[in-house]
Amino acid sequence: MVITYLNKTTKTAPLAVFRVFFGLLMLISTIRFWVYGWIDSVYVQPKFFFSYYGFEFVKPLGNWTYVLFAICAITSVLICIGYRYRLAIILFFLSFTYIELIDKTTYLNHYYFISILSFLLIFLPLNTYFSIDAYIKPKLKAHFTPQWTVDAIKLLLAIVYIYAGLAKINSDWLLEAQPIKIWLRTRTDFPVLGSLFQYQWVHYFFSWFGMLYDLLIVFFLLYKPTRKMAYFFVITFHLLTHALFPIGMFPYVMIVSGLIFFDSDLHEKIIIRIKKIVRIRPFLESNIIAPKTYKYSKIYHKIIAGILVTFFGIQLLLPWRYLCYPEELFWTEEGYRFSWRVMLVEKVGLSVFTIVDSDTGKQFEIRNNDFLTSFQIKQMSTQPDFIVQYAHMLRNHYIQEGIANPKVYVQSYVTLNGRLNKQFIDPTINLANEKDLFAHKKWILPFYETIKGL
Amino acid sequence: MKKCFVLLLIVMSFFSCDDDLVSNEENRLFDSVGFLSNVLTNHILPEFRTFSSDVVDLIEAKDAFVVDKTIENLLNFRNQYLVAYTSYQSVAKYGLGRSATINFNQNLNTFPFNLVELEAFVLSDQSKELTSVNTQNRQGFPAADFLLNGLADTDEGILAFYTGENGTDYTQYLSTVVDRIDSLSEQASNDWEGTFGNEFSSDSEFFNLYVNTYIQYFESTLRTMKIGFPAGVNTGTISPISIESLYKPEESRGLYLEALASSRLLYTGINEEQSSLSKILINLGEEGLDARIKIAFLEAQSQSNRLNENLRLQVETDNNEMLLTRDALQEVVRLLKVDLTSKLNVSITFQDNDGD
Repeated sequence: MVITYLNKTTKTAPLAVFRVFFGLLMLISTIRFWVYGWIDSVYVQPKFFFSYYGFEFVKPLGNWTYVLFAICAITSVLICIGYRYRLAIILFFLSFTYIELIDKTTYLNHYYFISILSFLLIFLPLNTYFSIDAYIKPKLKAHFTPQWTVDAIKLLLAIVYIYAGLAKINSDWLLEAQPIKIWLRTRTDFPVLGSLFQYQWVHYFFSWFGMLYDLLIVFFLLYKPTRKMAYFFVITFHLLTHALFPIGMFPYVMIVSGLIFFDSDLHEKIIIRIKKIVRIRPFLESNIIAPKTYKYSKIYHKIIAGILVTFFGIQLLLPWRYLCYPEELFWTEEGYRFSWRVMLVEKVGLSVFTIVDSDTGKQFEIRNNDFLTSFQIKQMSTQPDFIVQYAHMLRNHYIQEGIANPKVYVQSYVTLNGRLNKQFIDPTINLANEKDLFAHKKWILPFYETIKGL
Repeated sequence: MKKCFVLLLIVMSFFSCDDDLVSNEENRLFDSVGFLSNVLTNHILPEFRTFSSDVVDLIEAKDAFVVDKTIENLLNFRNQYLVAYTSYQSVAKYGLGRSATINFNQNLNTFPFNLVELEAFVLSDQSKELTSVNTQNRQGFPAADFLLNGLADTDEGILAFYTGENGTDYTQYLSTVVDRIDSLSEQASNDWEGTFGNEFSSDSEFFNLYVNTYIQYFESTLRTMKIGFPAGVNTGTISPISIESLYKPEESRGLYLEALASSRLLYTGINEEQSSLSKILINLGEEGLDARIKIAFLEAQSQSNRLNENLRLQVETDNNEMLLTRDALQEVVRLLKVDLTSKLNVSITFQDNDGD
């Protein structure tokens, strides 16, 4: 059965369309990031960066970060037009991922999605149709492609949606309509729908609808009779979330990605439409060579199989790693990232650090903005791994300033999904001595409540 | 595609029909425009009007003193200065619009006053303009404080500076300080009375900015500058000379209490009918948080009342009371910055920035 599936083929058009839109959206989002001045404020200005565990070797590049973004932009164009595709997508993956790894302050599920999607795209033949590569090298051109190359993208999307849906099956989301309630009820100025946002039932409707949407949308997209309706929902849902929440380009990425579920007819039509708009004549007439199916070489096929099975295995298992930790996931955030937990928590924190000179007993409070940007302070205040990293940075800073044995304590208070603030970190623990490991951080104070659910 | 749009339109019109049924503004649980216009008419404008009229009196007292440098005129001038400094405490928390662009608060109340090479500065042209950023700590009320209270130990001694060898320069400097307070106040006040006030009270976009400004004022100015710095919270070493009104230190607690009371009133609202942050929380069903914030304000006030009226003396004799006051203020900060912002879905765009 596996063999027959692997031999199944389909039209290449969906991959080509996916490539064009992916490149285009990445170009737009890179330019957007640049124009908003975020490269400077997020990657150049900060004096300190929060590395990911195990990726401490990824260093900020100062003004060279602009080069990295330029590489992203240029490779996006190359991906879009399908020129030197393989090289372009590899460089895009590397530069984009490098940027993301510089500072985990900027972590967003959708950046992670772009990273792993571009990794996957390295191994798929997205340039064998409607591309400069295929135009220059007619031998490369293939009207057909193995079915699994298209399905791999669908599978990744399915993982994103379904895991996001599963994560919403929890008592805060379904029974308290939190944090949707907090986010909607003060948006009464929102056009048309605004006045509805004060009603409880609307909060519950959004919560339950969101959960069901994430869980089921992929199945409705896969099933032909419901596909069009489902895609209409995709558009409405993502445009609405785009209007309501500051989530940047993500809705567009998902709207465009959803097209992959449609039959190749639609993609052929899109390609014809694009050709008409772009009007590059030789490029238009490149359809002469007889239809052919893209074939991976045997060895390459085996290697890719190994890589992709591992890749999807990790994707399927990673979100469950939180089960290895005691205590409430939403509170400790141990095992929280890389798991498609999207918009699940509304957290605000206040963390005030005190340095104590062990030799003299002198103590003083830190002003966080002497060391961190306001964005970093916001992220740091609610996440224990940030707090301990920052504490270590403070320890090192004050050792340099001449305090031989600085102790670092924190008064940290966090509110989660509308609950009153509670003390977050044990204020009696000297964080200078605590390590940032994968092991459970015992100095996180208990949540004293349970959020039931997955 | 066309079908999609038609469907979208149908959905939209369905919602807008519904909209008509409930769009009665009064019934909204959360009405940011109503809140902002209330803040403008019942807090910002009256407070600015009082302040502006006090500044006019200050100018008159200054003019009288410049014409006739007598002890009596000095005392009257000093008196008016304190009145204006006190009403300034209320308007300091509105660092928005023109107030922000002209650095209203930085120019009017950066303390401690800069004493470095003072004589040379007074004799220079810089002291006759005070428009440069470098002169922020040589003007405003702290400068007036020094020039009226701190030049010498006795009134006669102070008077001698204005009548003595460099008398013209000192008089000119003092005059410039007061005139600049006047011109900055007028700019800020006109802005609130005019275009910006209108924009502010009709655009819900300002809600976020307003709450941010309010909390930032409370945290950075009230807690850190007035209490934290003198108490040495960020250095571990007390700094008695960092108090407000350093040259008449027995006024320092009074000014601080004025600022605290005014901040509290802005939270609670002047009366039951008016919209206020407190009222908004109650409407949203967050009575528990509202009660906590009110208690925290009261506790901060009662702890503050235990301080000596001379904060310098308080720091030097029993800094622990200062630290307790600071803790009480921190409790308010915590509730405002963590819980209030979370419940009102206001994202904090500053984080304990000290406005420097």
